[in-house]
Amino acid sequence: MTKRINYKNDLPNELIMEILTRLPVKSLMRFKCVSKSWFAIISNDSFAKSHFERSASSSHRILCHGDGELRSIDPDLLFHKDPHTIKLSIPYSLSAYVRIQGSCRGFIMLQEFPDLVIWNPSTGVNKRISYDHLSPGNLESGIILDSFMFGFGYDARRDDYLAIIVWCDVNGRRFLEYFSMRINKWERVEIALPRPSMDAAASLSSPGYYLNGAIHWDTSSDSILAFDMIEREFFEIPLPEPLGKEFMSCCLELLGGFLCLCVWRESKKTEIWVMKEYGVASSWTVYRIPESNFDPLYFTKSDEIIGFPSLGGLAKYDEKGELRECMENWNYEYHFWMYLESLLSLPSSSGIAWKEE
Amino acid sequence: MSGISDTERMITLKTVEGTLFDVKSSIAKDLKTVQAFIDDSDDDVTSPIPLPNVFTRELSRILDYLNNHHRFRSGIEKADEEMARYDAEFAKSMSHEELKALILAANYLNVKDLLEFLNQTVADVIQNKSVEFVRNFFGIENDYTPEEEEKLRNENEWAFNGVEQD
Repeated sequence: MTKRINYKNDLPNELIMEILTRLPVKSLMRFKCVSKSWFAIISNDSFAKSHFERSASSSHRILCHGDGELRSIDPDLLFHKDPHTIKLSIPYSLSAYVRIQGSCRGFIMLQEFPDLVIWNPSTGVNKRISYDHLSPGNLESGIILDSFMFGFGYDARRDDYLAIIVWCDVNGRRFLEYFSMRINKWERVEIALPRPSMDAAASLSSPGYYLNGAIHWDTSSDSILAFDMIEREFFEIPLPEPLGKEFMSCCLELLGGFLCLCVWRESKKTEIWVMKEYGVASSWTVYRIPESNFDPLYFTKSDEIIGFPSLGGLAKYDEKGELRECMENWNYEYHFWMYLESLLSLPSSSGIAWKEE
Repeated sequence: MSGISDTERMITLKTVEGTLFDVKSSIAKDLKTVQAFIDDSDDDVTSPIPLPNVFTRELSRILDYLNNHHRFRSGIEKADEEMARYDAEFAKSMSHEELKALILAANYLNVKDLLEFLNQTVADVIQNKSVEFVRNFFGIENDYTPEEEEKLRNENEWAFNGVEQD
């Protein structure tokens, strides 16, 4: 046997990074302990961005909020006996009444007056923003407190994230209050909704659903209200015409990366309308669930819908409306929110990511 | 297959140990580094092309992979299944050292598809493994103090649940 020349097979960092971009967030957070240079690679912002771009469609998780606790669940394990739920601590010890008002690229925006907290549950990075300047005592003209609409989204052109509060004053003027991570302060512009008729409807407080560069809110009008993060203006997405107007309720949801409408009708069936191609009216596809008041939770990669039957438990239906799986014991008194996993950190004016002890 | 055509031209490659490999030019196209060399040469390349960074064992594996994949792609029925089976066997047949050596060779020769496959293979191997396993695999020295490492582990406790035993 010929003698081999000894050589080290150590892989250079560029090749190690190619391997690391293929790993899930959990593995990467653990491998920060491998060495200081691996810590630097994994914490690096460009690495986080290319990792996110590669894995975004497969890194869904569900945040489960209730009993004063926050838990994170892998939606692919919802029907498993042990879904490996991860317990999270609510940052800043916000109370159990904290509301989730939006999420984007791995960040979740929690809201409890007077604070907004932007938080990445995977890395722990978080930033608190106060909006107490919007409390009635601090403004000259009265604001209508229950007109607040919150949202959180990403501006791809400026590589920046905005926390948004839309509010009305007593004179009916509407304002967009926004906090950019890079500028690091609140700014305000007067803004108009796409149609005056949307005004009444827009005062319902729904969280903002971020998708494809826009934040979407549920309003009780016949279209979805949306805000373009780059152009910084409102637009609307009409509801599908075949939906008609005869329904008991129609709620906007964001399921598995698609805008969805959950429609309850008198007929004791639930329809889930899924906009399969964003912005394409003809792509609305309806899933008919043979149950009344079915509350959808997640839209899987195999085109199945998981949700809560009104009589309890958890169920999974396929695109033909056939029951594929169900589970009796499921506590659905929690609130659920879908988010993506990422290693991303917030850009800041000082270039330092915040972390709270 | 056509008669007289470019796809039947042979290229000769020479490894570090001096072993010569005759390679069809259609296969050599997948070795982008080699193809660039050929394209850059003014005349037809007749003498063996030296590969100073590539050992016989690695080149032999790379050519085996490419030859099989070309065969699968040329339209045999059930090629997908056979290819998946071949790929699985191919990955399993190598030790960790051999896997890394092959990644280095595939990277040097710029064999895109094989490199993607190897990177994914390594990612699959290490995904649920411990920090110690990963250090071992990549030959990385731990430069944390015990206190630093403990602090980091505690901060990310959730990431250490369900890790495979070494």
